[in-house]
Amino acid sequence: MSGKQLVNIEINGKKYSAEVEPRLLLVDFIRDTAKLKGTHIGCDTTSCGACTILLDGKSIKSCTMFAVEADGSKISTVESLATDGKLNILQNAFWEHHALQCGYCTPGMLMSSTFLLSRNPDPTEEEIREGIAGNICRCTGYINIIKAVKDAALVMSAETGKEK
Amino acid sequence: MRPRPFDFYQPTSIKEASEILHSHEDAKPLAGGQSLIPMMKLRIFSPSEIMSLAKIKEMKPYISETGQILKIGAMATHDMIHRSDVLRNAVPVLSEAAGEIADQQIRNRGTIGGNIAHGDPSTNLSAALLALDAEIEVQGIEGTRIIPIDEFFLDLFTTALDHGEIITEFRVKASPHTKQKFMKVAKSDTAFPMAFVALNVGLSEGFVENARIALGVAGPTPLRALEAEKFLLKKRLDSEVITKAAQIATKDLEPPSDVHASEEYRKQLLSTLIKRGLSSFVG
Ligand SMILES: Cc1cc2nc3c(=O)[nH]c(=O)nc-3n(C[C@H](O)[C@H](O)[C@H](O)COP(=O)(O)OP(=O)(O)OC[C@H]3O[C@@H](n4cnc5c(N)ncnc54)[C@H](O)[C@@H]3O)c2cc1C
Ligand code: FES
Ligand code: FES
Repeated sequence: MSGKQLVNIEINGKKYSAEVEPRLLLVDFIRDTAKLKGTHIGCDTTSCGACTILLDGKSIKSCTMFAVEADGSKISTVESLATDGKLNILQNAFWEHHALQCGYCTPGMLMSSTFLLSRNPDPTEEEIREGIAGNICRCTGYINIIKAVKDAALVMSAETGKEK
Repeated sequence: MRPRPFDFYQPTSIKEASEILHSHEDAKPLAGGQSLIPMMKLRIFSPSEIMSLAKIKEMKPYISETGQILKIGAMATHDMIHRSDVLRNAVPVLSEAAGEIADQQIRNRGTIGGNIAHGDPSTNLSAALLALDAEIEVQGIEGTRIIPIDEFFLDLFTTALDHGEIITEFRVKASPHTKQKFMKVAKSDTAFPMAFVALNVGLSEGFVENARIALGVAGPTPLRALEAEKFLLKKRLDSEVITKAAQIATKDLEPPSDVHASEEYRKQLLSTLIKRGLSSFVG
């Protein structure tokens, strides 16, 4: 099929549909079609992870997928984390631990960490390093990011404990 | 950079896919896109037609066990392979190799079919599958055929796949009793690998019964150290034998020289990895 194609993608619970060229990258759909600018483009060569989002619950680099391939899927971006302007536990831990300076890598770091914690609620330092290995930060030196993820895991497990 | 425009096809059956590839000379299959899309963005490669494998009903990702044979669908992701308990027990070298590919995001998208079809000597799974003597099932307009992995890699980016053929499945024999190991050296997880090895050695009372040694980024294709494998047969893995095997395995190699490592350095790394790997199998 040549020419434009209709794609339907649900982003953060909202449905977006548009006629797009097959070569449109998912990150451009998110930023330009859905106008959600939280997802960043850093390297554009599948290396830095600034464009990381969750596609049907799995972390991927949205600069390395075509939007037509995401037709019918559900995506979460960094904008899905806070509710009514209130930071979620992970975001709050980043803030508390100075896990960002310029903030460029932060959306990707948050989404990679969200994926890690969704599979492994109590990661070791080594597992956190492994979980964010696809995300480059040029400011923090990673230590504070690792502390933040570890702390978020503790707070989350305390909260689930409370609920029980 | 953005890729050049292309026409996009999304077949839902292997039959339909074969017909598209047969009638469209330039059509290129797209699996996880983790090798293809970066090349298209850099415009190193600009196919005018892309055919997605994602919606083909027979190609939904799977890992299954039939007696001693493990079957892995071509669309199984690196992450699925790495996390499969069945594979970790039966063919640990494959599970380890998949876990050492790039990073979590790339492992969530990249597939075993794409890793192998790419025909690149720096792909982890090609070494692991060589060490495991895998079989590759491919399908095209003429039907299905099986290609032994030893006959698959012909030259840099050149494989035994005919135009219009797609890889549908990999088969490996469960070998929980052999010693297996995958080891890689790279500057970081996402950096291009400097060297890696995949080892699969059967020992009986300390003596080598069979050995397969596969080397990554050691030449234009993924390759086996055939002479070293033969040398090891019926020998006890002591330090002298191990040193000699590493020397035989690397003496005639001509690995590429690039910004990541020089030819000479790659040879030393390969030799060291073989020695470390074999030593870990004893004592
Ligand atoms: C930053 C970065 C670092 C990486 N580091 C490593 C590494 O250390 N080790 C490693 O092994 N890999 C590495 N990779 C590559 C990664 O493993 C890819 O996922 C894999 O090589 C290609 O799989 P894919 O499913 O993404 O294939 P695609 O990119 O979709 O396709 C690759 C090629 O295979 C063909 N193809 C795909 N599937 C089939 C099929 N079923 N039948 C026939 N042809 C097919 C395509 O036409 C294309 O030519 C890295 C990639 C990146 C971006
Ligand atoms: S912008 Fe996608 S990985 Fe850097
Ligand atoms: S905070 Fe600046 S790149 Fe990470």
